[in-house]
Amino acid sequence: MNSGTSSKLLTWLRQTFYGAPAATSSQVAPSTAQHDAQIALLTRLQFAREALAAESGGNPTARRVFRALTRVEARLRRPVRVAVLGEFNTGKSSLVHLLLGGVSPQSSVMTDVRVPIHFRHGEKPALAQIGADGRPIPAEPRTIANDRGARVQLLEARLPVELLRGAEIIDAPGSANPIHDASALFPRIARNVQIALWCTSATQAWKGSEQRMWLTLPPRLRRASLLVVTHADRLRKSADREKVMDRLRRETAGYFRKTLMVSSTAQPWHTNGGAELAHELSAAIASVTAAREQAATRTARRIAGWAFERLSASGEADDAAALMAAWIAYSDALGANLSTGAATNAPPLGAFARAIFSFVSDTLGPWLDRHSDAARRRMILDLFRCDLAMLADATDGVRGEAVTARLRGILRQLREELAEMLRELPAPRARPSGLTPETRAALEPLLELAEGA
Amino acid sequence: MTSTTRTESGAPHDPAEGAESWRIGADLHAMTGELTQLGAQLQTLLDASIAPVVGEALAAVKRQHNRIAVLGQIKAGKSSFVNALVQRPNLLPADVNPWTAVVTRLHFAVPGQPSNGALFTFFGQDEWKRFTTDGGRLKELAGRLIPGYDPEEVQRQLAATRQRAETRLGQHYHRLFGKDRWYDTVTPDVIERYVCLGQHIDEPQSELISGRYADITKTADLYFEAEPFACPATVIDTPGTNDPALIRDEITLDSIDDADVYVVVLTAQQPLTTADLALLRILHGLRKNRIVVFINRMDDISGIDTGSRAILDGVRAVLNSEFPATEIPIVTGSALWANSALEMETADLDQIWVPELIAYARSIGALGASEPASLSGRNAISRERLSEVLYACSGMPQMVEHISNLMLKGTHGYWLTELGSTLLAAAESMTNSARNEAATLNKFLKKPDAENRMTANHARATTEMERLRKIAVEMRQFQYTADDWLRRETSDTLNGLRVELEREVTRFAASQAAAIPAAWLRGHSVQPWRCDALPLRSLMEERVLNAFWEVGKLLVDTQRQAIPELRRMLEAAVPDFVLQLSPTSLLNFNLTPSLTPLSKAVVFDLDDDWWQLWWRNAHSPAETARKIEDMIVAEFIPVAGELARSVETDLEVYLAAAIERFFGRCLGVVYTAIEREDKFARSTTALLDASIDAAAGHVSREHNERLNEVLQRINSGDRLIRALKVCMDRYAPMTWDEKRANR
Repeated sequence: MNSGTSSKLLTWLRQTFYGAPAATSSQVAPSTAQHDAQIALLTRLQFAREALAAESGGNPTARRVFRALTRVEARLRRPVRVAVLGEFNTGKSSLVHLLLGGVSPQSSVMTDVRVPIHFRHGEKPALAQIGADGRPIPAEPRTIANDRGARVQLLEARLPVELLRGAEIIDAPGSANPIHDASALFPRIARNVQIALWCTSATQAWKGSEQRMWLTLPPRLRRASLLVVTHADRLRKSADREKVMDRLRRETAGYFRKTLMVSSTAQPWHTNGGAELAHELSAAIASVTAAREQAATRTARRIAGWAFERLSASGEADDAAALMAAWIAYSDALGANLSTGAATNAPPLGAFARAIFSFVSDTLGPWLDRHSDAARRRMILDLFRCDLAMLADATDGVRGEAVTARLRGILRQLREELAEMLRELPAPRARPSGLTPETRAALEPLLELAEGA
Repeated sequence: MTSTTRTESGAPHDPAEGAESWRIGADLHAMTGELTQLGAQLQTLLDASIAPVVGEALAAVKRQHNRIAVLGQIKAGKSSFVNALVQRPNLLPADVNPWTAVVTRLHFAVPGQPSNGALFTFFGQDEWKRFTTDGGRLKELAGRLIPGYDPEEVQRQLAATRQRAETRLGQHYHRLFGKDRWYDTVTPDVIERYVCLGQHIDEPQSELISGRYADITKTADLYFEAEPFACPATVIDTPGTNDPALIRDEITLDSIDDADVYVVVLTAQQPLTTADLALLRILHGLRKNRIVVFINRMDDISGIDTGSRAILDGVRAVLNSEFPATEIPIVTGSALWANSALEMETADLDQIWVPELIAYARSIGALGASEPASLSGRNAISRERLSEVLYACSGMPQMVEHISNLMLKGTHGYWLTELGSTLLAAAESMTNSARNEAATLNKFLKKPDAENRMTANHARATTEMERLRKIAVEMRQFQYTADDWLRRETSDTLNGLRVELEREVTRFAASQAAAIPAAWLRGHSVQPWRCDALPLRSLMEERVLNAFWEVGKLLVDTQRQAIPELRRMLEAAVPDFVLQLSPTSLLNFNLTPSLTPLSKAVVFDLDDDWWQLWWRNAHSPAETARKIEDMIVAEFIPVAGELARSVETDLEVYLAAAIERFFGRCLGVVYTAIEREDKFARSTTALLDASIDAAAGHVSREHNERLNEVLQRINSGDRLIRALKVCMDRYAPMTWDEKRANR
């Protein structure tokens, strides 16, 4: 059989999605140990996060840690993406088909799919056209993917295939096709994947144009990607296959994690390179997952360390920050009110003075009672004493907008001075009591985790 | 080396028409044969004064040979195709990896060359340095685009090449530079050593290892007898393009000089990639009507019969939209089938003669619908028949036909047409002067003689000769004047061409520069913008062709203006003589200018990745625009100069020949008259000594004999003219108008 299969692949897809379901099982899956390790890490992260969620109500530090851990977790849970790239008619689609556990597809001589197909996991098969804005474009089952306009950017295929839980697959149209050269898509696809399978045909393997294209893609891909030499059955002698492999290993040294040969059309597929590919792909996925876990562990440790220090040692500093934040919010609102008041043309001095006073009596005063000595308290309260006489002085000789501007100036000045005063407060004593036992319990395993790594 | 010629058989469904139709260039050969024969006949009738012109034209044709270049991407099966074409299935070695590393020329009975043996020429010191240290043209271009840029990949490859040469040849391999090696017989082993890339090896190997000399071999020349070509030919096999090793890619592109036929080999699996299209664009820019596309390795695909059609249609659609004005012949086939047909003994028939191929053979009529097809059993197909069917399926018969057709339109064909028109002019001139002489003789014979008359005749002949010689000198001088005038006018036109070409370059540069700020404003970045030099190349080509056409008209003008004066001179020389004087037909202005300088690579031909690097360093739109403008001017002004120079060289040779031929016809008439008077004077001198009666009888006898001879010449002349016209009509190559329409 020959080459590009996409039109038949589509037929198969349509059947899968709208007709009798095809039997699907795949030989590619993350190893169990790997899987367990990941689950363990995720469990810890989740535990820590939930514990922090309880704290995060009034504690900004806990809130930040909570958000950071949520991101780490999401990154870890995101499936690995594998792009199948290469020139046209090099057997990309057949390969995808076989990876997804389909039976060997029929072929057509010329490829005709012009957009990437994104295979994701779904409990029920579904096929959708995605437009440039990322939204689905409705289509009839019969016409789907036959859109020749530029509207459809991507086909999204959901399949109940176990492999897709851990690794999504993007089947790209081929490069070097003069009718529809997809090479412009490659950098974009490559940015969003962790692994690439570069397909090259055994009888004309690794041409200059392939090398140039590959070298323009992000170098990080080289660590995890595979060079898949397709149509190996066209080299009839095993000595010939070895010669080609030998050259490819030499010419692509450092470009790929591994180079291997498959015959996607020879039956049975798993003895014709399929098993090795499944194995190598699993290993590549595992390596990506492992790298992710390491990164997640490192990040989690940094977050935990930071949070531990903050939450255990700097209760006061954080209270000071909260006070500062309260003033900023209050003064901003006040400043905003001034603008609306200016329109009435009545000097807003009275209202302004009252507002300042109410902040001092409700918030600033009680805080200073708790956190500072009497002398410092007096100094700060002096600053905030804005009686009418003082305000009249400050706005003497100006009217309307200019008054508002002066008052805003006062607010700004107060902000700066308050910040300075708070900085000058005596160094806070360690107050482990700022950390609840629950939080401490959640963060400690994260620290241990990182130390072990 | 095995040379197998296909056996003939009278099988009922034989698609080939016998061995002769397999000889490549059979038409060209037939036309050469006919014209040479007619030329030889004509030469016996011509006077000594005009015979050399014909002799020279005949010799020019004998010097010609046809060059057929085979190009394509790596592993497209070029070497296998060459083997099938020259019907030597095991000649050039092939491998599963790119294997041909050296441009290999196969010479078939090329005049002045040996008819067997092999010559391998090594690089000179300078060339070696240029390729393996400086990195060749690609690096030079890259350096021009991004000064100081030194791509790691290229460096790595260059170092590897130098290292391999040393490993294979020892540290003193430099001593081989500039030398060559001759072998009396061509064997695949020898070819492997010099031409093939060889396996990768880490330690020094014996003398006999394949690829030992490949790195330092510049060219390989293999010499053969004519078979399977009907006329002298050189087939050029090239290393593939689109090789990851940039140097080999460049060696191939360097070898695309001037061939008569370009065979571009594609593969059925990836018929026509962007890399193929890039190659076709270069070739098409050079020689539009000399390309034929062979889609090889149909044996690799499934569903051969439907697949073959789909591939053919697909490739044709792309080529039609890419080159709308040119019909490039496309053939699908398989060199494997052809080579198996040529050597059935070693062919792996079980693998090749599969049901799909059988179905395909039946569908194209190569195999009868009910004809047996199995390889064994009572109802098996015979080996001879299978060989025929395989060959018919392989696409080679069509390739032979297309190549033969293109050969008729190549330089050999061009010189044949020149020979034809020279012969025709000579025959017409000869016949006309013979008619004229016959008239004179008749007049003389009607009034038989007396001694005084004879004396008077002798005196008249002597003065007449003097007078005619003067006219001949005058005519010659007139020719020089006309020639001078034409040269002056031509040089004006060509100077104009130079100016116009340069103006096109600066205008194009300015327009590209002007487009940059707009592109910059429209998008977030101008990165996708790319200077496409193709429109400029087309403009320059158009200018060159127009100038060429102008010069053609100048030539006609010159001749037209010279005609009244020439007619007066001829009238004075031979009063009752009628010579049809007409200027060279523009249709016969059969030469096309060489456009090779246009194919010279410039930085704008570098791949996108290089340009992306360039854009990375781009600053403001204005500055970028200025840089682009400067770069276009710097790259293309030299091209403009070279184009103008090459057109000048081409025209110089052609115009000199055309003027010489035009005046030569008239001078021929005058010289014939001089010779006739000379003969007459000499015969009368002899007779004056003899008795008058005897003399009178003798003279009239001699004149009668002469008259008969002249009448015979007229007959033969007329017959030759008719034969020449028929011959030229039969093989009429494309006319100038067709050529122009093809552009």
